[in-house]
Amino acid sequence: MVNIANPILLIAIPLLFAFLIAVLAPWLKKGVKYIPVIAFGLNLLVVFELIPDVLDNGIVIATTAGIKPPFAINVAVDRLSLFLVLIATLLGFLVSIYNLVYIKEEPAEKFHILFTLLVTGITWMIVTGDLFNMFVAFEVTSISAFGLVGFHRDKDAAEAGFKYLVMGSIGASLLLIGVVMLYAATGTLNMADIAEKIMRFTFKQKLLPYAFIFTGLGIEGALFPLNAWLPDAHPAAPSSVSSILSGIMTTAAIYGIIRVTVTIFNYYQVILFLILFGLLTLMFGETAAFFQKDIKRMLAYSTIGQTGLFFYAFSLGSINGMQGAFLQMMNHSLAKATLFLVVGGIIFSVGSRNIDDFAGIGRKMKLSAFLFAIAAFSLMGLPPFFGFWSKLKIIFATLERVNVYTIAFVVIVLFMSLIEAAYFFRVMQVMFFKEAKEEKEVREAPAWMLIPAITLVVIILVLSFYPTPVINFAHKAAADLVGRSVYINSVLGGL
Amino acid sequence: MVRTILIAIGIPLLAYGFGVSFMMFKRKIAARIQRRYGPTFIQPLIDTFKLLSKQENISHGIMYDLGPILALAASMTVIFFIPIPGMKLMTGSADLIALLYIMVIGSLVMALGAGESANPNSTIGIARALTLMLGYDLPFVIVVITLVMKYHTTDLYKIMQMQTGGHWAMWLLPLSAIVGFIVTYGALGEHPFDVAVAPHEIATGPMAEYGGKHLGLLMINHAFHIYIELALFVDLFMGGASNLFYFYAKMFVIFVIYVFFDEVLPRFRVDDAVRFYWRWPTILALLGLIIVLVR
Amino acid sequence: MDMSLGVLLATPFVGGILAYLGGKIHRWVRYTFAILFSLLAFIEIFFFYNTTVGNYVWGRLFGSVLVLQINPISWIFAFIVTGISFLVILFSINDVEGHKGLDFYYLELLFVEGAMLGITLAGDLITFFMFWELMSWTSYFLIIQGGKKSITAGYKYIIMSVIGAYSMFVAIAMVFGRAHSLVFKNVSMLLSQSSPAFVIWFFVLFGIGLFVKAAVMPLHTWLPDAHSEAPSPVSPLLSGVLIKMGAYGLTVLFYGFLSVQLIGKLAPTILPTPLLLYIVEWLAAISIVLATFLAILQEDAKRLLAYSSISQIGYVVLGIAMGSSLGIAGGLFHALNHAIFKSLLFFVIGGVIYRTGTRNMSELGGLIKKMPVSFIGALFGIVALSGVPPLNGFVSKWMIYEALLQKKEVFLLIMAFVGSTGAFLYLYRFIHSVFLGQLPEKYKDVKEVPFLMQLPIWILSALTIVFGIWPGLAMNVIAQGEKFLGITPIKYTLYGFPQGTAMSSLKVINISSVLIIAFIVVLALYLMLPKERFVSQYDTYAAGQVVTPETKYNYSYGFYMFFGRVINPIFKWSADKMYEAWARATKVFGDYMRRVYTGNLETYSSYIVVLITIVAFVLLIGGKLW
Repeated sequence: MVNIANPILLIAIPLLFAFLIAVLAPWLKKGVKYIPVIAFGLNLLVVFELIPDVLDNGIVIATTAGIKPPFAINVAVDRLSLFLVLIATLLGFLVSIYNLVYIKEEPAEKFHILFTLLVTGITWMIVTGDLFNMFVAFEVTSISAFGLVGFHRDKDAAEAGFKYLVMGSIGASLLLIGVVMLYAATGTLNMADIAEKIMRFTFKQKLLPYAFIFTGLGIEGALFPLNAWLPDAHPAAPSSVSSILSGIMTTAAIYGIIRVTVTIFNYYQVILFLILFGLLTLMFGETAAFFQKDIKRMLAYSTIGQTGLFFYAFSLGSINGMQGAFLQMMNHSLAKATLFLVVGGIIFSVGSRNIDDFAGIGRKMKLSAFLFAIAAFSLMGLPPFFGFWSKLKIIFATLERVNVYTIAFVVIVLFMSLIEAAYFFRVMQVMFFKEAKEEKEVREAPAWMLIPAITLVVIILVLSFYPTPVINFAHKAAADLVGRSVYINSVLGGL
Repeated sequence: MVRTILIAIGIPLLAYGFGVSFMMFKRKIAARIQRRYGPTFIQPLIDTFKLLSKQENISHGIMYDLGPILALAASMTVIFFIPIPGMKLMTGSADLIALLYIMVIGSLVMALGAGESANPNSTIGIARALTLMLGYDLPFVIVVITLVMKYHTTDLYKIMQMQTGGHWAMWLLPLSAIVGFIVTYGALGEHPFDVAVAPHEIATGPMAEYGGKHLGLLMINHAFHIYIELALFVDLFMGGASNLFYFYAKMFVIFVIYVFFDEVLPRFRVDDAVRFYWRWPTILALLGLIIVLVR
Repeated sequence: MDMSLGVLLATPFVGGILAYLGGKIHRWVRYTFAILFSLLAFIEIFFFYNTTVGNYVWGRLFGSVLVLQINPISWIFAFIVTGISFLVILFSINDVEGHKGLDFYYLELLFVEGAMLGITLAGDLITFFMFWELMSWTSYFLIIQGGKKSITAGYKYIIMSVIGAYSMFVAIAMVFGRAHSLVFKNVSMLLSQSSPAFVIWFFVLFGIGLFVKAAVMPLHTWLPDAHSEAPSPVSPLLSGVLIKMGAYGLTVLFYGFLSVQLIGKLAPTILPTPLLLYIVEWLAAISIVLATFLAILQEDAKRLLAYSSISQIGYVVLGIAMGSSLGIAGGLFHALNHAIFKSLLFFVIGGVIYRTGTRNMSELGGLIKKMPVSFIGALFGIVALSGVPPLNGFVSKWMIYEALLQKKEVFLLIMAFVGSTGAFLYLYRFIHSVFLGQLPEKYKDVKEVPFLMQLPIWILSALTIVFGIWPGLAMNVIAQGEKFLGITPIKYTLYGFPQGTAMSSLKVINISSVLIIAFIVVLALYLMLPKERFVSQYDTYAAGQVVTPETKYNYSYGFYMFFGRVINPIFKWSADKMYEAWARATKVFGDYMRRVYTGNLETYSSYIVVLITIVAFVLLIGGKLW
């Protein structure tokens, strides 16, 4: 009996299938589009198999070539990674279903290869226990993302893709420099091992590699001021890709930062420095989103804002703050992915990305509009939806200590939430209560495009009314992360 | 029991008697000021009787009919709550604050009745009357509060009792008394505060459409109205009275002063009247209030 | 008993969902479910009459339990919520028939009811806040169904609500940071042990949230737009019930979380009332006067009533903030009364809009002959609102005045009185312009509203009399509630108040019986006199002119223009304009902020370089970030 609860499979399966697409494409012109669905379906199975193990032991480690860490390349799934890998796989699976109908433009098979690689890269980045592997995964993700952003082959997409390419490459090289510096200093690439060895270093010695890695990942993770590629790239990409980019890719990069900051550098006390990034990202993202007329651009800026929000919550440095951050990550991933998928469907039918052209959608595309509303409510944090609980947690975590700073933070966070509510309500007003200027034949999106969104909304609703398990799980994940020893000892203890 | 019933019948009759006598005197005094002889002394009674017995009555609707009826009924209600020497029946059930609200029932239902007559003159008159009411209410409320602060009760009867033996509020609170006088003046709707009626502009305002028995009832109501305003002033500022004669005498003195003012002053425009009330009487009343509060 | 609180709370939500699904089958299935479940909630309320159910735990979150409870104070408000909601649903059936999206409408209606019920039943702050937010956005979707203008109004409403809710949120989070439990009892315990500064922060932040909902000036600016632009049946719900949630919250804040003694300790007690409450009282008094003046100058009937709501809720807040037994009782009673008569008036004007299609008062008139039932409803409503005996508004206003006199807060009393007199002006204007005066030709064939729309009018009219003549019925619950809050309960009789409660005694039944006897006497006199004959409305005195059906012989537009001349100087500036200026400034600032994203790759790359430089610089100065 093969034990499929092996995290390495999470990378191996989709990689295999990605090459399979390339190989099979000439023969199976129409059939290749089902391959990603199968790949991520299998991945989802693996993740489900992993869940009980992780819940019991706190961490699952797999190594290659039968050599024990730190000498082998290892893959480690602790609670936090599981949390994210679950979302990533789920989104990968659902969006590949969406792609079945959505992707009509040629070359479709190339799209499917890149898409599979994109999600694989994200998964890889999350589960890897090796710093260099993280860089490789980062590159896989970025390069497939460059290609996907430029997929539409018009002027906008080309420009956006180019911008993204330049900035992403800068990020990758900075990340590489950081990794190399660490390798030079410690002689190892295993995260747990580095963490063990770096304890002897002074603050100053640690800072430079950290700065490079942080900046490198921060570019992908959409932190201000490194996020300027995002508002161009996310709207330019096909909606299904946007939903992955916005839903999980930035989150994965932030996961990288969290992992590096807490597990490797043990830096999470350096909080105020990071809070500044979080708040600035939040502020610039939300204010910019407020002024957008293009719905996808608005959602992209909103992604920046949300990233800022959960990065801010993480950088509070307390277990409660991190718990809030993880909950918000989950909420954002599910809700934003839904929004992009639904908007993709609406754009598909209406033929415009301008918010003003959405008038009357609420009556003609009832289901889409409904899904949009639920996801938006959850994102805004209105009760009783899941976002409400995560926002509650973030604010509670901030005000654990009441002083001038925390009050100021809360004011900023809530003010930005207000702006977010303002622009989402504006969109909903247009959708539900504005009469269309001219009567256009607008039909509901095809069923295959709706099913993924419906599934996500159902998950959001379940979480909304039954949030306790996830909340508790997030708490444990945060506690494990801050505890560090679980991760380091398990990896080095060699099973 | 018999005594109670007798009082219950007596109070309205007495009030009407007082009120109508003031109407009689008014016409006579006014005539003399204008160097006329004036009508017969009982002319108001004759007028009322004539109007009530008219055979030709018109109506614009049910509310139009109910207006005068309810106005009169409300006035009759009010007089039961104003202490009269020797006749105490209902004064314990409603205090000064409640009385202020019972007093407006009449004007409001009358306004509704006049409203249904579909005549803009009536409506304008009512709009003016209500605005004027808002005007004089501010100083009047301050005066009432001053009295309550002074005597630590809102029971009208107790306020009256505490003034017996010459300790009239008029002497103790001269500023408030002056304001009270001006306000009562406005409530009576005499010159210069007769914008609501203003016969030359809006054809007697609320009454423009009324005639016959309706107007007759309104004339009776007017007698009650004069009585109520004067009696309230006497009770509040002149210590009421120990018997009916003194009561009447005090009211008469105040009334004569009113008539003098009425005959020589022109008419305020309504916004000017409001401005007037919100300026000098209010300042005086506030001064009076602050003096009481500080002491 | 415990479980039944959950059942009670679930009733409207279940009803909403069933009504929504039922509407897909047939419209009468929808109506049956909506009526049935809102009635059911109303009946269930009576099982909790005068009972106190401490804590029904319905969940756990972040280490705090989520609790439902009921006590006499929340019972009063739950009674208002369920009662008025039921009538609103009855009224809706005819009123919004034939509109689009009715299933959704009833769903929202019942969800708003459920959310408000949840607020009254909440036993901890998370539950409270959750339902508070739920109420905000569900009611937003009700408001914006009222046509084009309502969208702007609703936007303003939701933005201000969210600001208020977030302010409250901060207060709750502050408490959570210290107490780690948000059950009301623990909150009050924590606050009694905290430093004054903490308590003041909590008070102010929580209070702002409540003030926005209760529309206390200067946070009222959403109300006139939202209440007037909302669909006709929603306005009674908003004005009658939704703003009462603010009043309920204030009661809980002042006397549930804090207490008069505790608030008194926060500041020197030179004033008759603790300083914080005194400020609240002044805000309320200012609301009373300014909103009354604004109501006088309105041309739109619903807007007039909306401003009137601001002023009347001022009385409620004034009473509640007074801190004395009589004052609190008066405030709570006025909340109940206002729910009755303001809903009544909104139902009446809703019916008028239903039949005539306009709410512009200068276009209406003379409808008394066509819609007598509505007129009677309006009459009861305005008499009750103006605080004239023998209807219910009189008793509660009387209580508030007496309480102010007792505490010698004379300047507040003066303002309250002026507001009340001002109410006569706008109420007369309301009833005259709609029902009296000349009937326009185009409304010749207007009929009375259908029976289902009359029903709320009848019921509420009857209630104004019941609570007016037997205030003891309400005092019964209110006294229990005061006992629950730890305040000496007021003494009362069925017909009024005995000596010693207020400055003097009151017997409402005597006033009304004298009035009725006098009325009978005068009526008898009137009937004995020669009979009158009805004439048409064109048979009026017009200074020699002949009034014809084509002539507009009516005084309706700019009714109190002369009064406007007196008070206009006050209204040169307004809170609304100030907020708009703020919003504009924020927008300009935000516009500058977003210029960071120039769309230029060189700029973006330079950002990265700048960041690295900064990090390098930090390294240079010794790696110390702070």
